[in-house]
Amino acid sequence: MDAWIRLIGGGILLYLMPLSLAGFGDLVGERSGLLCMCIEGTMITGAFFGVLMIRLFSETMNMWLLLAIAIIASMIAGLCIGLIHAFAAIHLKADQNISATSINTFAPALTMLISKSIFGTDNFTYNSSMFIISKIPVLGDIPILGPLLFRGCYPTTFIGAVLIALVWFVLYKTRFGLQLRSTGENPQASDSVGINVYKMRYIAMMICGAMAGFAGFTYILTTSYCFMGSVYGYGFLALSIVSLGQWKPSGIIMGALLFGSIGVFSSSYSVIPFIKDLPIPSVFYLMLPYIITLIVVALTPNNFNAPAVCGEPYDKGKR
Amino acid sequence: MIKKLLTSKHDYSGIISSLLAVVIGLAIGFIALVAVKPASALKGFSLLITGGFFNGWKTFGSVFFYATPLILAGLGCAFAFKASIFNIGGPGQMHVGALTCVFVVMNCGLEGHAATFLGLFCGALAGALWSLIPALLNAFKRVNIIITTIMMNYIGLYLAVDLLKKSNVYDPSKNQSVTIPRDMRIPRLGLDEITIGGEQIFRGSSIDAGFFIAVLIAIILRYILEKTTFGYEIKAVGKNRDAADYAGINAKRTIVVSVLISGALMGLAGGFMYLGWAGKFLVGSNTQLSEGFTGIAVTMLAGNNPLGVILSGFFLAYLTQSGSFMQAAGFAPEIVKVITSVVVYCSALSRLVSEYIRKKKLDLMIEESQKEGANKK
Repeated sequence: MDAWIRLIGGGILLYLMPLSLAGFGDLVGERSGLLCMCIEGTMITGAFFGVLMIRLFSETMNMWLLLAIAIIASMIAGLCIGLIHAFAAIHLKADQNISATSINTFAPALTMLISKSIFGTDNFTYNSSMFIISKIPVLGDIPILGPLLFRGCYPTTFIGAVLIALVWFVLYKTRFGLQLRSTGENPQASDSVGINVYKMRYIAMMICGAMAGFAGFTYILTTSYCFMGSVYGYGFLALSIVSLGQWKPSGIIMGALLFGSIGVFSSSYSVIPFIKDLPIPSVFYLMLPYIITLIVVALTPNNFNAPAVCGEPYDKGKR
Repeated sequence: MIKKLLTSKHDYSGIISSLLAVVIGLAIGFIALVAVKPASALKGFSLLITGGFFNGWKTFGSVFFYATPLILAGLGCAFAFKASIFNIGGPGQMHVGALTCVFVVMNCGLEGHAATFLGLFCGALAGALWSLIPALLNAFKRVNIIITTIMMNYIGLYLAVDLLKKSNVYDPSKNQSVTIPRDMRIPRLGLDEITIGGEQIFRGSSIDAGFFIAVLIAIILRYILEKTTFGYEIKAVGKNRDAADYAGINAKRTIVVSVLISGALMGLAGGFMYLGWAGKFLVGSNTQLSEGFTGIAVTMLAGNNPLGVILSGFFLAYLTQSGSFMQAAGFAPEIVKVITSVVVYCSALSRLVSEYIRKKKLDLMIEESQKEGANKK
């Protein structure tokens, strides 16, 4: 029983965490009125700088210090990408989809360029197993929850949970969060009561970038041992989760849960006996998360809860 | 000089912002080279500029080959852009189109160039088919086409690789598609035998007639967009979908058709890439065809102008060709992708540039009218 909980529950958690982290980052950005199609590129950059630190210093540094450095590196890298996007969207008044696309193509190219100049190859391996905590004392003995959360787990899962809670609190329970959300609904009105719309959007994009960078790092660290300059479209999955969840925190968590289950299913179908014997080619399971995303976005009702001005550059003179 | 530019009837802001984007892109590329390997940065940068002639005219001839898919992909993006549709499904549509094309050429039973044309046609059809679902979803349900095309990219990638491995055009020992027989490749029309000064300058290069077909298609698209009702409808839908619908244009149909044409061009681009003479093969590993993304850079650099796409596609093909020689200076060819993405990013400058020029023009006109007023007194 415990083994099944760990396989399925723990597996879902591995996908759930990066997807909801990126989803919450996207939520902050879009609530401020910016489209965040650049999540994919941000995740790649964050993942790269995070695992690069682990690869470079894994033998010379204390494990916990190393993890802290890797997390900070991934968040700073994501934050920088967020700033680049914010600059184009806010000051250059650019089409935000275009600047996001340039970031999404820039990120893998940059990571490959750096990785080739350091390691000579466009992919590199790293030791992620050293971060697995085999069992947390006391907590690991709780039935069901113990094997699910506190055995064979990664510390990044807990850090991610704290970050998500923090973002939720700031966005929905503080004065700052209310101001930030107002810039995505009616920036002219926000401006008239003294909120600096540009500043708010820059801050939102920095939070979004940092969250997405960390999301990429946890995703690559926990589900892979080799970085190949890609997060396999999970940034876009996070985007579709946000619109599926109607820009609500609870909706995002539910969406991430759904996609987490699909992710586990598509990666571990071969160990589930009766599914393995079905006459379905294995490539179908590879494509499954993407097919489900297509179906889900097709069936989602139109964005009635979406931020009102998402994607429009802020024009002070507009009425 | 500047005054002349400002007072001319034509609007040069597009060209100026494109040149600016290229300069900034190259500058950031240079910075990246310095950051990665300071010692050989200069050598690398000069390779980037002159690499298109690395082996003389032979290399330059191959630039024409690489330009063909980039121009077609750029045209595909540009055409959808006119309807304000952001088709970034290039990699998937190209992959599916390329596989269909190779498969049909090898299996249709026709001889020579008849097979080539049938293959290209089927490749274009497959590309269009692959863009159908995102097109319908966007037209009827307004689903974000970026998400749907990206998902179709991944589905297309996995499907195409899997089908390639199961098909009879796969060579398992090399993990790639089989070699296309010489008489079934894109016709060269004697381009490789052009003789200048008693020497066949393009001998051994992979130049073929595809480039001229791409140019022809660019001209046709320009004609459709500027001179036909359908082109007008596309642009109207692109400016304001609801207003166009209200004015009696069938916006849904216009969007679906423009995306389908865009997808067909992507599929065609894939066909030209793998039926050419450069020895490119579809590989049996899960790598996306990044040329589909480069198509976005091509069209952004050209300001969505079909004729400009020819120039920008050629320019980016030149850079790609140079990039393949960057290994000589110890740099990864990815530097070219860094530059192209910076170029796309800088295309955001076009709005600022055109606003600036408009303002300057106005200033100049006011100044002149004031002078005239003073003279009359």
